[in-house]
Amino acid sequence: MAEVRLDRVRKVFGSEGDAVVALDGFDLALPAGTFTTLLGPSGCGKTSALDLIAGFTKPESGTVTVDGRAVERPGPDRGVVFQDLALFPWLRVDENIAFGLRALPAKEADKVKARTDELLEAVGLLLFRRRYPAELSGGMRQRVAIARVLALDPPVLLMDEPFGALDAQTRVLMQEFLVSLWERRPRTALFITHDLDEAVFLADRLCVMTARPGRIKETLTVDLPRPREASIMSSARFHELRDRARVLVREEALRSIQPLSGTKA
Amino acid sequence: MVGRDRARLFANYAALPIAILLLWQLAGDLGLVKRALLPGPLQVLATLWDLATGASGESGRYSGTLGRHLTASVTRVLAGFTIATVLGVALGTAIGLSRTVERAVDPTLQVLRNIPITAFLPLSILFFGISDQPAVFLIALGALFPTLVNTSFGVKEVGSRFVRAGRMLGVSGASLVTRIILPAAQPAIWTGLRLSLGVAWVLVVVSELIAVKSGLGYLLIDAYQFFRPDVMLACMVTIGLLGYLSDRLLLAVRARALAWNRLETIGG
Ligand SMILES: Nc1ncnc2c1ncn2[C@@H]1O[C@H](COP(=O)(O)OP(=O)(O)OP(=O)(O)O)[C@@H](O)[C@H]1O
Ligand SMILES: [Mg+2]
Repeated sequence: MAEVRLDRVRKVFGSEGDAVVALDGFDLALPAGTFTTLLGPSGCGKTSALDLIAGFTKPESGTVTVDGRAVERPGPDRGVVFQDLALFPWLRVDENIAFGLRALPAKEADKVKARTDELLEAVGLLLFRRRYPAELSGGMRQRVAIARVLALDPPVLLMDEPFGALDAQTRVLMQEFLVSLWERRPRTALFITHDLDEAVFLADRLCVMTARPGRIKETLTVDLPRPREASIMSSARFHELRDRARVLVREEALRSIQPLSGTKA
Repeated sequence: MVGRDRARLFANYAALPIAILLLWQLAGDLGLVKRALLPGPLQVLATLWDLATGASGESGRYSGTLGRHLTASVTRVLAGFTIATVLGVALGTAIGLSRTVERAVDPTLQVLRNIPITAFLPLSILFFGISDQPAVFLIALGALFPTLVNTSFGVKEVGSRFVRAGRMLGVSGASLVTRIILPAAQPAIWTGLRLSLGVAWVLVVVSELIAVKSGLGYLLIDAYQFFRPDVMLACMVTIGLLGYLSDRLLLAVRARALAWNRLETIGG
């Protein structure tokens, strides 16, 4: 299992005149095998932080490491579920899921097939294996995106508002689905969301970011028992944690919409 | 019900062609045009039949030669189109992927593209002589541009999200091009291929008018010199049908390759 660290990270977009400082002095540690959720006002730099861990972008200064090794580029050791999923529309469901397996050095056909079947079963899509993503419902597509990443059994799992586009019912089902998947095989996970219930329900640790330039404002330890089921959302402790998170997020959301606040010229 | 629908569908397709054939026939019958200049459709059909089979001698010195000319033209189209496809996709991909490559070759290509392809014909005859080569060269050159331009456009349009997803899943280097970029750019590439095939049919006839002594274009110009408008018309009809058939064939292949894309744009 892998520990992820961002230390004193600075991330700037654009140049000179219209530069936007997304992250400045940003520290975040994801302890090995824990599930961290990340909350914060829109535009505070959540996606920027995730992209750095994924290796899609590089920091202007500071370090991003996985198990002490600097992140240089994207790779199958850090699975990403994108907000817009980015499923390959030209591939069928099973081909999407097997995509990463075919890139591996030992690409024995029957092993790939067996692993694909296993994943299709895990995400309940065996009957839809020969469909194209465009033929699936939103929740099904989510599951394909998750299966595609789990195929590689990545020690680190990064998710950027993956359930943001789903209706409330499907969303809860997907949350339960993700929790059970993760509890069966815990790995280091970072999950970005705007949904407070979701953030508490999934997390071991819940981090709230400040308005841009983003830093971690506070980290809550979510000490709810596992395995978790949706019923836990009506417990007193759940409400306590969620209300605490709500206050923190609201403070920063207010700061972020006030003109000129949080902006460094 | 089904029978009626089918009849209606047939009428839908056939009405215009039948009207044109009737007008064509009547124009001669009513003396609007001279039969000697514009033989009627039945005459042309008889000539075409003899051109193809040599059965009646109707087309005189051309009797039974259609197969040979048709094969020559089709071969040239295939050769030129294949070269254009390979070069167009390869170069278009390179331009789409790299600003450096684009800056290096784009001005040259734009100037070349603005010289009418037929203007290359005299020079290529000087260069290659009267043979297959100037024809194939001309077709390849002319058919290159639609595929190249559309491929580079399609490659540029490939969302960085797909490339990111591919890299995240462990794909890099050349596999990124073959497994992500080209499949994602397919809709644009097929548009280019279709235009290229159309250009190839135009250019094969043009080049055969001057640069070679075989093919449907050559048959056409030869029949002109020997004043056989029926042979000319039969030849034109053949060219039109071949172009149409090859386009339908390409569309059928494209429909299979792009089944996912139809879902994306209409169903999804
Ligand atoms: N590629 C980019 N070019 C320029 N600016 C960018 C780019 N990506 C992000 N930014 C800016 O950096 C800041 C942080 O963006 P980021 O996407 O990380 O926010 P976020 O916390 O994920 O927001 P949201 O919750 O709305 O997704 C924003 O002000 C955004 O405008
Ligand atoms: Mg974001």
